[in-house]
Amino acid sequence: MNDTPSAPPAAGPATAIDAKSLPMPEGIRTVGSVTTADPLFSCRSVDVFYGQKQAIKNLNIDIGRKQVLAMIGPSGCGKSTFLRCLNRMNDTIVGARVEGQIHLDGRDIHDRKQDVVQLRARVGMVFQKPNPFPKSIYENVAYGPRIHGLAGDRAELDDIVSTSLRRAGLWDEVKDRLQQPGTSLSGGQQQRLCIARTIAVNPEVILMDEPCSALDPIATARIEDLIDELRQSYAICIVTHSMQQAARVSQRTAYFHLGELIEVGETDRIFTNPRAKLTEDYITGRFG
Amino acid sequence: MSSTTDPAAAASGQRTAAETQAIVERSLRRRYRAEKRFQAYGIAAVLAGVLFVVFLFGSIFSQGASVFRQSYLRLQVFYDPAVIDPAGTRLADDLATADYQALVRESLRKRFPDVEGRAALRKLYAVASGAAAVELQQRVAADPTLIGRSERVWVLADDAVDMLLKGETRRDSAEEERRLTDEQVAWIDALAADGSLALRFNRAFFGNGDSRDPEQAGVRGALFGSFLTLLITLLLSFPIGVAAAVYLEEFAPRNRLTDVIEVNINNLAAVPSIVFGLLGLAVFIAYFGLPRSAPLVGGLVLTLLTLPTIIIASRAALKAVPPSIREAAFGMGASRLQTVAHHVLPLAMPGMLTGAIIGMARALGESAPLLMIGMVAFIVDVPKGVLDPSTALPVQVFLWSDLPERGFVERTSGAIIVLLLFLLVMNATAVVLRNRFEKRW
Repeated sequence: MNDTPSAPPAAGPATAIDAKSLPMPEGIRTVGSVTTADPLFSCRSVDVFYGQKQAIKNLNIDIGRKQVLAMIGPSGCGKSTFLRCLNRMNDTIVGARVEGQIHLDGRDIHDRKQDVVQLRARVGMVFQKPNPFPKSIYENVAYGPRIHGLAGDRAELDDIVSTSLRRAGLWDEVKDRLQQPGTSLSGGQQQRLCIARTIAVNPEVILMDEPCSALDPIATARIEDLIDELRQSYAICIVTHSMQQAARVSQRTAYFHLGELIEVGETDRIFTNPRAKLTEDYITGRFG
Repeated sequence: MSSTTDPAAAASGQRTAAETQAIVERSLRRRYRAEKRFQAYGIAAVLAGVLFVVFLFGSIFSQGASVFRQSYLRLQVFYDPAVIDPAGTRLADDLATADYQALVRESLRKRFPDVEGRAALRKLYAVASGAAAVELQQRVAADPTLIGRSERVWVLADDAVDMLLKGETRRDSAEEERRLTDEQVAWIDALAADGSLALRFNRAFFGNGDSRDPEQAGVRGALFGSFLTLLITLLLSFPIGVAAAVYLEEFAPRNRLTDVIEVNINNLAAVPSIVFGLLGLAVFIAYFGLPRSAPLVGGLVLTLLTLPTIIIASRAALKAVPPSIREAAFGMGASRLQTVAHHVLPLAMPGMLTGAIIGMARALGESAPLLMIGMVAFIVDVPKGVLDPSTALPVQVFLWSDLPERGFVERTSGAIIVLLLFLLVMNATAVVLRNRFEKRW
């Protein structure tokens, strides 16, 4: 991955203003403010291939701390693929290949020294379809702390579980039935359980892949409130098909089209004054 | 339906709604007829299957049910010290080698004091089985204080007597056509009349190993042999099969080598079982020098046989685990092994157990490979360990089905019944285990 010697982290004049933002390669076509101050993630020249098919072309973006980045775009545009690059979930797909640089806090996540298990503990993920483990509610939340050895004893584990469930806004609904299977909950509750499970390992980033697409409007509203709260502590990247949702929950928005990042910028600005023609067509509902 | 009067539709040559409905209605009748026909085929197929099963079980049970009761003879035996222990040593060796046959003969002679002459007496003695003496010897060995006393003992009758009592030998047939003379039939009737000869639960069938005498032959040796063999098979093939399946499905890279392995596993499942027997003979017995006829070798051979089945079923079970569970675990930062051990394996376990049941059921019914490794030998003793010579239930069926005596015909069916019961118990255990593991997601 580190075959571009011109781009070591924290070096070169282009990164002088910010140690963690990588230098920008030449000739990028993305419109808007790709970089942010003090980014958590810095991605440069990212290409993703599934076998012969290129799913993402030359993507450059910085992802900031304690803010929500919404990724929008028509189906098959590569937004989920990019999301899965950030915690290397693409590793699990046969034939998937990621090129380019993705730095988390100044460190290349594809570096040989970067352990993928550790990376995923730092970068949690919530999936499109709620996928609680077929175990009890308690065990679902306790699983992460358990495998990472975060809790010293049972009391501490209980504490982590209850705190996580409270932060996910699920505690009052499940506190009396922690031993029931997680799959017995409703869809919206299951998704909040998955969020509780993710925050139980205290990650820095939470990736959400269309977390509300399987939920009704009330459950969606709850999740959106939750995202807004979690933003105080975590960076959140959310893929969504709903432009209203992107406008409601995010501070920055990135518009993807056919594997390319077309435009990225402040959410308000993107929705009121898009600069790229494709972005404008999409958000005004001309296609997609 | 406003389109019936829609001038635009009519003008463009489209069908009206009424026309469409008429066409649909016509096709409906055809569709329902096809459905009815298909159902009839299905019912016919099921009926044919059921019929075969009923016929199979009916024939086995009608022939084998009689084996569970056997003719026993009640004798008043005097344990004569002069016969058993003339020297008065009471040593176990002396007691074991004594002429217990003489006690049986004496008892029968007392029962029919009128019989005289060597030839007639020999015919009388033939009513009791050779096992009667063994029975008496065992009783004395268990309790030497019996010597000098008298007791009533139920001992096995000869199989010819048994056949007469069960009606297999016809009384009205000519004397030379049956194994019993008219004289013997008269004695048997006399014994049966006062209750000294009766059909009782067949202890010998469940307590003995194989024998040349039908009345003494039992399935215990074969049953234990099958049990030990299957135990070895299960202990080896399930862990190896599951480990192989997990590695191939969850860890191995997809490349030419794994493709070749996959194809070969599938081929292995179709290899005739006798080939595995030959392989076992060449490798385990000739090369490694393991004993012939041993359940250990049988278990090893059957492991080769069941491995492909278990691997294929286990892989299918692993494939059936929803990928969302794996993603959830990976997303939490679980390692590959943790993902498999904590989440995938528990969910795949029921399917794997089903595969194991199928594999073990096939192994239980397999006889050809066991013939090759010598488990077809005539073995009287019940095996006590995996290295003792032994036979297996299907091989026992094969052996007995070859023998001409009427008594072995019912024993063949009886052994099949025992085999089926064994299978039933095994499958029931597996189903219980599977239900315990079963989880919803």
